[in-house]
Amino acid sequence: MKPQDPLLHVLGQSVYVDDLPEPAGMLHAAVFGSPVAHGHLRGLDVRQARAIPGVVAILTAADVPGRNQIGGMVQDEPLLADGAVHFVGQPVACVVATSREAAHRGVAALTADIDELPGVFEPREAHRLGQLIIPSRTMACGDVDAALATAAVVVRGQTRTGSQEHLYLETQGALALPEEGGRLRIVSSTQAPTAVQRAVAGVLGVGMHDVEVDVTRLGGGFGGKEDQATPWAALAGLAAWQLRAPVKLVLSREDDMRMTGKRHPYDADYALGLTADGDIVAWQVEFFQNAGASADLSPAVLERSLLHATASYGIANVRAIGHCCRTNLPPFTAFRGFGGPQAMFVLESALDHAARVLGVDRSVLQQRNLTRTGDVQPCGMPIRSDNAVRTFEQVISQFGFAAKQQEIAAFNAANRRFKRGAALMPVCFGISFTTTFLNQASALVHVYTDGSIAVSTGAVEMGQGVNAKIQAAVAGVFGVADARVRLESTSTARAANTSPTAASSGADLNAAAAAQAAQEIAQRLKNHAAALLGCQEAAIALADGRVTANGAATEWTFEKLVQAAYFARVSLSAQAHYATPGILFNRATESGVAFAYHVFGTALTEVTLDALLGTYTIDRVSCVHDVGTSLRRDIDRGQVEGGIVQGVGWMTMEEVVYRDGKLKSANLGTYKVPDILAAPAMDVAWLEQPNAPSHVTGKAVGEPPLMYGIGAYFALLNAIRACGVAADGMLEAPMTPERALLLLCGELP
Amino acid sequence: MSGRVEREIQFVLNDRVVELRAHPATPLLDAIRGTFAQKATKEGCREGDCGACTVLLGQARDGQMAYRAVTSCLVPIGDVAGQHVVTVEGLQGTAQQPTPVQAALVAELGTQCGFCTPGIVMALTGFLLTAPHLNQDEATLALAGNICRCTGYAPILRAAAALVAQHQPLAPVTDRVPGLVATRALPGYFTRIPQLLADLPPRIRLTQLPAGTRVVAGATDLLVQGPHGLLDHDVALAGDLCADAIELVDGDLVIGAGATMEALSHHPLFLAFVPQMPQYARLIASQQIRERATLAGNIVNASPIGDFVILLLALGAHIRLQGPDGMREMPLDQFHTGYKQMDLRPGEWLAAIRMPAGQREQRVAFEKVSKRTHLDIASVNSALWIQVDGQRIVAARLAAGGVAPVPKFLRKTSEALRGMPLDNATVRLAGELARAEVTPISDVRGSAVYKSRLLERQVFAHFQRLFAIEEGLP
Repeated sequence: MKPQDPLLHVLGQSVYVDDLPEPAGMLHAAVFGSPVAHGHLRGLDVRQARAIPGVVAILTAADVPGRNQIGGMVQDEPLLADGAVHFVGQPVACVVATSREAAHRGVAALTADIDELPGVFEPREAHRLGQLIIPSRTMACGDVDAALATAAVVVRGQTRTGSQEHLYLETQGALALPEEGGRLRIVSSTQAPTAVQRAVAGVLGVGMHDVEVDVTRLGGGFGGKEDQATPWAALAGLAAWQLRAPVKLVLSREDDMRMTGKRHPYDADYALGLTADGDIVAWQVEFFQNAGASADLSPAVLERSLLHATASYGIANVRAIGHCCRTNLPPFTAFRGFGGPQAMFVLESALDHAARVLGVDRSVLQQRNLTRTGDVQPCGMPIRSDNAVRTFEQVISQFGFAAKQQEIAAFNAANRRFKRGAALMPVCFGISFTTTFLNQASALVHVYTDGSIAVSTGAVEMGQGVNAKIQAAVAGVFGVADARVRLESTSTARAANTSPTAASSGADLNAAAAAQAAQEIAQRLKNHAAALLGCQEAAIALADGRVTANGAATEWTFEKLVQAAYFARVSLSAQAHYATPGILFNRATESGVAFAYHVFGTALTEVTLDALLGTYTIDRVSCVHDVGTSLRRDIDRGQVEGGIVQGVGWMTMEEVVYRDGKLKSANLGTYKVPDILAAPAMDVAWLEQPNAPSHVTGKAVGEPPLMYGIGAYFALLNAIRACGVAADGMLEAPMTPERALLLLCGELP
Repeated sequence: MSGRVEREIQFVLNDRVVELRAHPATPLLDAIRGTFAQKATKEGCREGDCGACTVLLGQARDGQMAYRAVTSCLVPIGDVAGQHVVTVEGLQGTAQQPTPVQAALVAELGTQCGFCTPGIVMALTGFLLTAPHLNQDEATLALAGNICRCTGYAPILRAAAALVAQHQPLAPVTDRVPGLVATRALPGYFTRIPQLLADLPPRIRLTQLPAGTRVVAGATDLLVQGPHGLLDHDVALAGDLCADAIELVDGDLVIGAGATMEALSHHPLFLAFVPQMPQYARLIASQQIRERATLAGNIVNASPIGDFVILLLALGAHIRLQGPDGMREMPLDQFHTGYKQMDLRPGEWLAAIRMPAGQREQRVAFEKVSKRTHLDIASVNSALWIQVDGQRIVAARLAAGGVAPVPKFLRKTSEALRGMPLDNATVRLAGELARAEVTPISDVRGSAVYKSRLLERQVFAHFQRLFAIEEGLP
């Protein structure tokens, strides 16, 4: 049985925010964003905009009845600018009109009176000026200074990784519907319904119970709708509240790209100490995270960078320092990997550097230093498996890495214009929110009298297949076909105080909660069946839609049992709560068991470079991935393949360009993501003999594969070096064709 | 605000004739989602770059229906008058009986978040309906205008492979509807469409351009700039004004300015000038865009980075301008006078392009480099037309885009090549001269340093492609 969503998608029947039936009298909102990166906001000239036919209202900070504040981790983000603007595109006013066109014309007619101030756009400059969002953090173990002082080889350098636009195909949006008694219902394209609910209640000065946030599905999220769906829902909510009318706010692609944050750009300094044999003895890294103008999720992203500072390697002496630098750019935010990819790039770059100094292939240093059972991460968390080594070795054997390297060397010797390159990329990624309290979920399960089942959880479906996994988990508990289980929309009225669907944990947490609720009902049903059949409750099982006793069939179907239980006044509903056991991370001491477990994997990436033009193809990515005992390998495969291509995009063609705080790559004409012709061929293999923790859904699979994409960068670097170019300067991603050609020509500034 | 001239527009939407009154430049997507409240077709970018709004557009030609996949966000509604528009709703698949395309995408999990999926379904349906050869390569090319941010495309390719296998053999393109109706890839009403279209009023033809009217030829760039720029004007569509015929006149090739890039890219008469055109076409745009973009638009839009215009400059094309005082002709390389400036007089429109017979059967090379190889705007593009006698260059024309305020004919470099030997020194010199003749600026498509170097490398690449001269290699 296939999950239900794909069928709706192909029939064109899936409903997204902008597809909802429009209630009579619905108004459209559009947002006027600051035209400058930093300044004092003196006022807004609304006269021309008001004169535009169809414009109903122009809302500013003065129209906020409650708190003009939507910051999640840190309360530093006004919904609408008040007195100051801090980035280009920062919402200043919300124009509400009778049509989308009129709203946009109203926005175009607004002018703001702003005294412009100098802007800061580089994280190192912000750090120098002391513009930090939180105090800098350090995670350390061993004695890194002593180890660096005595290491046979020490390499020091800097790296830089660029931003990345989420490019969820459905732009941000929300529809706010006033209901009776001052209640507001908001259909939002958000990964975090509770965050939206809390923010809207705060903005309006009402109770959270006065606001229901309902999410059917997202047309893609990737982290971009974890914190950053909130402003648009809150603005629609504010407008609906003030005007007592339904209000829809759906961002145009260009507004979405200009106004919302993306993956954090990072600068980093590193010092890597090794023995003469290539064993890592010391690792010091300092991250300068470009956080943008407000905190958003940046402190948590930085925390994950620190927790992944050692990437896939076991290192005894470590000092990782993180600076969360405030700049005049849109607040950078969660994006698949959440600081992990940025951290891994630095250590992989340092290994590249060390390999050049030692005169060995980078893969040799990678393999020598992979983390294994017994290693302890700088935060104190022990590594509990050898899967880093096992996936690495399986890639080498299964995909013939040695033979491939020989083949590539022969190709490169025989060809002048085209050069091939390959690289291995191991991934070790921690699963859990590092903010420990977020690792909880609840579910509400109803069994109806006809035996059909409805499940509500806090998980948001955005294409990752979480609904199908929950559906399979619940169906498994009741022993019925998946099709008997429907996943309801994600509503704050049915699942309260939910964590965002993020950190790859949506299925882990919510399927566990749903299975737990289902088990409570199943237990009651079994008890009832035991009474009916006159046997021990332990003898009863539910399978294939029927009731068995002591392994033998009975005349009782699941439906019949449900009906009988109902007439016997047995509750057919249950609500359950799940909290991931065994994790606790202490920010005060920077130590603890931050993760429930780690996901491991290794990828081999092969590329071909045109040495004349600097263009290239990413030919193939072959990986061995550790997914545990998954119920839905088909879904997992889709996550791996999709993650790889997104990661390759981040490392190659996806270039976010700001000039003086203005986004120059603000549409799909100027920001390119991989298309079908750019996507590599992919071989996805699973780790043989996985030893997964006992979770109903297998290991989390959303984020880890993205980091395989980093291999594309180093494979390209190898191909460039096959042209006789040293490429020994600072490593900076993405490797656009421009960067590749300038490297080839020795023309990088 | 669009108090501008609206039109009654009739067309067939899926299985029925519909009518609306609208400004002719209104994007078809807005009519589908707004006026007709059919929400399956998605808005992803409104610039033809994501393909989520892909629909099929069918036109009766010589008694046959000819369909093409287009991005509805960039189709002015005026252009669909008298045509057949097909959306996902019009495929009439159901949960019990999805079309083969829909079933294959479900079976392979070729859909995750689902937002791009309607566009993918239409692109694949269009592939079955229009691809000359049903194979994996053609399927991939048919999907080259569709962005999926979730799947990494692998399961979509698997679905395409399954479809290719299921649909062998398939009738020739001109007679494919009955077979696809039989497999339920298309609903039965498709056989009745020619009849429905025949009853619609014929398209208006303009012989003059009323004052203040903007001419829109395809709109694949003008609508990207935002519809307001058009909706606030009276517009005439290329189809109202120009022919799209591609024909030989006195030995020269004359291309009606309304001809689309796709039509020209596969036309035997044009292939005589540029045999590799089908390959180059892939670099120029996605099929959805090439089916709509016109040569006239590419020239009059005056973008310094147009792809076709660069090729036409190298080929020594002439253009014919129709105006109130009749027709005049000029070499294309004299038309663009400054950034978005051109020698176009009031009331004039570009009616045709003439390719002199003498330019045929010489060697032509085209290069384009962009951040993404396909469906992207070039950092630099260039084309070289060259005539040789043994190892000596008789004549050459080099043109480049992205390196000057106009699509640039590199006159000095071209002239300097005349009479030069075909060797590495000449190639090196050509690269140097070309760099000296351009003035690139740094922008989102690349730094000036890069563009200058890239132009040189493209010049090298032309000579490698045409004469295997290996200059600039490591």
